[in-house]
Amino acid sequence: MTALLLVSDFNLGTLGRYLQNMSTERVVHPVVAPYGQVTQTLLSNPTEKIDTAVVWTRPEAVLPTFSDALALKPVDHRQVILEVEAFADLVLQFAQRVPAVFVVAWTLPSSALDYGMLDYRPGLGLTNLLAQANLTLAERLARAPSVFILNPERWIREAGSNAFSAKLWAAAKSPFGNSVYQTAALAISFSLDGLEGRSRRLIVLDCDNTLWGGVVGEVGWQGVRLGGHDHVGEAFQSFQRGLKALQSRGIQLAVLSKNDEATALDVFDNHSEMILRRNDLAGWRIDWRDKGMNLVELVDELNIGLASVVFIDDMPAERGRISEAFPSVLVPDWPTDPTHYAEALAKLGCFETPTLTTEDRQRSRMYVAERERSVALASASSIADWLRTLGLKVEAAAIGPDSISRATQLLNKTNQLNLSTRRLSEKEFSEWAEAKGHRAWTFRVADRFGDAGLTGLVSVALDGKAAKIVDFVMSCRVMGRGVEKAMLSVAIQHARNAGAEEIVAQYLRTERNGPTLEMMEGSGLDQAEPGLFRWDARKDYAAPEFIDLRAN
Amino acid sequence: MNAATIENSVFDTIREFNRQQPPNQQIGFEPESVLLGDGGVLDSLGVINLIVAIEQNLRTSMGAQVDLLSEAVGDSGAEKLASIGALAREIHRQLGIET
Repeated sequence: MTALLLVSDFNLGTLGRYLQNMSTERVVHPVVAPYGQVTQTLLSNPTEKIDTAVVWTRPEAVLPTFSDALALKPVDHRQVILEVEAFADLVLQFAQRVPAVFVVAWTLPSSALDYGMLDYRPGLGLTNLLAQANLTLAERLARAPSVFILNPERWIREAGSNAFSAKLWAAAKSPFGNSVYQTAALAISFSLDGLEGRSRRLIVLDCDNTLWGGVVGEVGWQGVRLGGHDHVGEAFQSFQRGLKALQSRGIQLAVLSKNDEATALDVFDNHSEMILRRNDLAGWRIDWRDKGMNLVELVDELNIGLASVVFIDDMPAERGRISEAFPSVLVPDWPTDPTHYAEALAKLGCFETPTLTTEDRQRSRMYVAERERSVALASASSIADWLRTLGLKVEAAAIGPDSISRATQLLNKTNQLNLSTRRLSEKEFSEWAEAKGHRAWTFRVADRFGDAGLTGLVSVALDGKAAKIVDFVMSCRVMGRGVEKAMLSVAIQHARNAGAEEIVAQYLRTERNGPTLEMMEGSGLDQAEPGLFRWDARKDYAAPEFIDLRAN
Repeated sequence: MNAATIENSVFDTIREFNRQQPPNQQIGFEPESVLLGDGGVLDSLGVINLIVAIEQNLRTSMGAQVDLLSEAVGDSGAEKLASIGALAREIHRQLGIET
């Protein structure tokens, strides 16, 4: 259950209803603050436990000078900006009392009169003033990592001519039509998923008539419709450009296709109009087997949960098969006309993340490196030999401003290799790490095939001569290479240096962190009782000799 | 524009509107499904949202202009818009459509 406080100068009751009755797994308990009492609400403590707040206001209601500007009176735009800064400071204060805040960017009312061709003119136009106000708000609120600005333009665009309703405003003090609130509710739900590390991370795609037009098995790679002077071919290319753009922000792409593998891969390798290439794919299953079975194998290979998957296929029967077998997979209805594919992709909105790290952007390259690593393992005489040939480097660094975002993301998204499965906001984790006796490190892992990035996290709490490993989190991508022992060695060395005599790690079981128990059982620490691991900190704990460990 | 196209527009609106309602408070599609008055499940915001959405959809999908909200809040609103069937009759009356 997510308790969501809705703060507004207008009636947000309809948004609350959509949030409460969405047909998603998320259960939202909306708490609608009395409308018109924005300042009072932002200045006071919430009367019940709130997980996230949504602040959606009209600029003319919270910026007095903007109200004059809307009446086309001459106003000093600098005064409006000062009022924006004051409002932003109010939100920043409020953000210290709730875990996260979504602020909806301002829009002009549908009935606004403006200066026509002069409306973008600095110092005069309303459009210019609104853009400046929103930019100032964004810059000011960027000071708080738990505050996010949601852009309502898409909600309004999708609602078309039903976006605004003068009658609803007159009768219920609700400026927007129902469909704006409906789209907003979905966007807020996806943003909440993002905060909790539950956003979609993998798009699984069909090939024929999904990535290109036609059946490659029949027409060959030269004959598929893609690009060229053909509106259908152009449409498939636009769709691929959208996919490539999502990949650039860390969303992985994979292929599930009923085809001959070599024939389908020929298109990726040889067709000059392909935007996506073989190395853009995190993985694929191209054969004649059932797509459900193949999907299970694929997500297993990529260490991604089914709840992170979006499945796109032009065939309704295949979509039905996947959505029935795996309800947690997002299977969007897909247009029959390829010219609508790119738009359908843009409307998905399920890829929200509170941060975007370098690791996110490079994730695709990491999957390719993993494939190359697997090939090397297959040709090695033993795992020990293979580990020695990898040239593993592990770099430990105390958590700081440059790594807190990625560290929090790792803490909240990792399920399988997670000792205690603590879920904290960036602010909460940062405060915890700075508390007396607490210490947290991030670990970057690289080998000769590539840089896996920031893939490990350990935190320790010291209390006199006792030390406790509170978090031990590792990405599955670096599992099975001795990295966990290098991480433990850093934590144990810290405890030794601080004079601790014993360090313990308590494994807290969840539905998905079974691999953590196996890993801890193989770590060399004593299991004093089920799930409780101990190490005599007076003894050294060495990292594997084949790892070049550097601790900053 | 005829009675059937109007009915389609109204049903589309109700289908969309029901997404903001809990499962046990959704509006039915039968002529006798209650809208206002005894046995109704909508509160005042729900009534306004539904009525305005019906008006808006009729206007944008077929250019038909009706004013149902004034009827809903008027003295005989509970009677004129008591059910889906009554709502349809009121729309037909305002648009001068014979059924």
